[in-house]
Amino acid sequence: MKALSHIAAVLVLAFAIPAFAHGNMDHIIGTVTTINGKIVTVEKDGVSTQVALVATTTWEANGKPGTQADLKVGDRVVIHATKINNVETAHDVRLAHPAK
Amino acid sequence: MVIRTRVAAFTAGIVAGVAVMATVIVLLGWSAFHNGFSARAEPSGLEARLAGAILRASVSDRDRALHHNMTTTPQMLSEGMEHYADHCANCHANNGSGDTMYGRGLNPRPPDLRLAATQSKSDGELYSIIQNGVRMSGMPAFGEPGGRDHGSWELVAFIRHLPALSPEEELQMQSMNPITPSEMKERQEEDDFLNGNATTTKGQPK
Repeated sequence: MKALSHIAAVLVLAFAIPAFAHGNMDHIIGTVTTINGKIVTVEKDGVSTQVALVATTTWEANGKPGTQADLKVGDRVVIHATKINNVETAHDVRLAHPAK
Repeated sequence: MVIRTRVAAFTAGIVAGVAVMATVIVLLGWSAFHNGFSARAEPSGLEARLAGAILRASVSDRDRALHHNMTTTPQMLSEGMEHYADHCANCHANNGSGDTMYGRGLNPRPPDLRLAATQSKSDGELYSIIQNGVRMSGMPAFGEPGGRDHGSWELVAFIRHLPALSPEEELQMQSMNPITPSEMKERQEEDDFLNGNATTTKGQPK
């Protein structure tokens, strides 16, 4: 019985062929117009996009490791995001402060 | 009379066993046809346990006991990092989390290399997995058959370092990741935008 159940499970696994995902993350580029808690609004060419920031979002500020605290209104950002429940959710954020 | 009772009990046991097996197979079949064989689905507990058992069984005791007999030096770590960023990070991610486009699409998912399930393996076990791969997973065999590969030992050393990887090192690894010409162009456009000299940056989500 034990051997049979192992064989059955092996057969099931044998069909679990690895597959590669296709597609890519959305690239959201623009200037930060608002930061409302965990939601940041990015605007470019008159088009606004809201992006949710999550605990796993990684940060790079001016070429160095950063945090959400580095993000300010007016910053230029490049965000790689995935739509989750129809909300762009940031995987990583690269930002640059505007030149003074 | 006793013998008859035992035979009846034995037969009943066989019938019950076959019935249970048939039920399991029907349920698995129904699940497969109902849900499909999508790689997106999380592996069931049964699959996960079996995959773990297969992984453990795939490494011989001899390989498990292997040692590289070298002290881990900064140079060894540095070369391991470069090697890892180039060969492994597409699926395992620079930080070892497995949170990449390929990693998320694989079934079974690549393990989080920083966690105990990986870190508790012996050096020889990690080396053997890198050299020989893991069947029924996305992990290929990177080594030559029977070969002893210094590069794989460097990878083992770097995997040991992953739980302590600094944000600076993770950022450094991004420049070591393989990228296609179109990704390189895209990255250049993003850098240009961040540097304030954008000319052809894309707009909002693709």
